[in-house]
Amino acid sequence: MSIDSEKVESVLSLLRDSDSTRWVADQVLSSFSQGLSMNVKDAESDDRFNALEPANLTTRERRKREKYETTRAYTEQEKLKLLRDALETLYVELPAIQVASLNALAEFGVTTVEFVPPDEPEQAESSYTVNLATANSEQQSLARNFAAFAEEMG
Amino acid sequence: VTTQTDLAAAYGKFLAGNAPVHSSGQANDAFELYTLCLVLQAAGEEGSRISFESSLGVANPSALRFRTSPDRIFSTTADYTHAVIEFADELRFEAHMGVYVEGLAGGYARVRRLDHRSSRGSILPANSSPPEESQYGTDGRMQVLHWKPGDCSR
Repeated sequence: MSIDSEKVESVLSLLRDSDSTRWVADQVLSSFSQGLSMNVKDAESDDRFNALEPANLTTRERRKREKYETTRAYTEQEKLKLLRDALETLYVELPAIQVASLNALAEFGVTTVEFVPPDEPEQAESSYTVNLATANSEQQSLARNFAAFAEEMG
Repeated sequence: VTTQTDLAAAYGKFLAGNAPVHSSGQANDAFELYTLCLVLQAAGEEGSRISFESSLGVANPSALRFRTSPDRIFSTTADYTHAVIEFADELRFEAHMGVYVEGLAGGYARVRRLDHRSSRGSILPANSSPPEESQYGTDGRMQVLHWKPGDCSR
C-alpha cells in the first residue's frame, strides 16, 4: 500500500469515527467509486486513460468516440487530493459562505437563522441555529486548523 | 515523512469535533441560504424593497426560520420565514427556501413569479396564466403547485 493510500484510509477512518463527519467519508467514497470522468478528446493527453483504450480502433472509430465521456479510476494521489479538497470545502469554504450569508442578512437586521425540520420530520434531522457572531469567530480558527492539518496530510 | 500516528494526532488536534456542520443536510442548508442571499442582493440592486415575513404574517421576525428539508409552501407548524421582494411597479415576489415544487411531467421546475394580488401567493412559471381558484386552499394560500408540462423551464 502506498503512502498516499495509507493516508486516505487513515483520514477516511477518522472521519467515519464521528457522526458529524461520517457523511463526508461516505460522499468521498462515493466519488472514488464513480471514478474520474473526462471528455474523450481531453482524455487523449492522459496516459492513464489511454491505457484503457482498445488498441485496434480505426481513425473513424476514434473520432466517433470523441463525442463521449470516459471514466477511469482515481489514482491514489488523486484520491488524496479529492479528500483534501473535501475537507477544505467543509472547514474553509462552507464557513466562509455561512459568514457571507449572515453578513448579507445583517444588513436587514437579521443576526440569527434557525433551521427547523418540516411538519413531516425526516430521519435524523433536528433543529439548529446559526448566528453571525459565532460563525465569524469560528471561521478563521477553522481555516487555520485546516491549513495545519493539510500540511500534515501533504 | 508523516506517519499514520502523526496524521491521527493532527486530526485529533485540529479537526476532530470542530466540523462546522454535522450532516450533508446542514451543508445543503448553508448553500441554500447563500443562494437566497444572492437572490436578495440581486433584487436589491434592481431597486426592490426587501423584508421578511413568517407564514403567520409576522413582519421581519427577529430570527429567520427555514426548513431543514422540503415541505409544503404554507405551514403554520413552525411559522417558517420567507423574503418579500417588492418593486416600485407593484410587482411583489416571495422567495422561499425548502419548498416542494411538483411537476406533473416529473421534470423539475423553476419557481419564477409570485402573484402580487393581496396575500394570495401563487408561484408560477413566468409565461403561465394566473392560477384557477381551485388551486388555493381554504385560507387563500396555494397548497401544492401544479402546472402543465412544457410550462416550466427544463
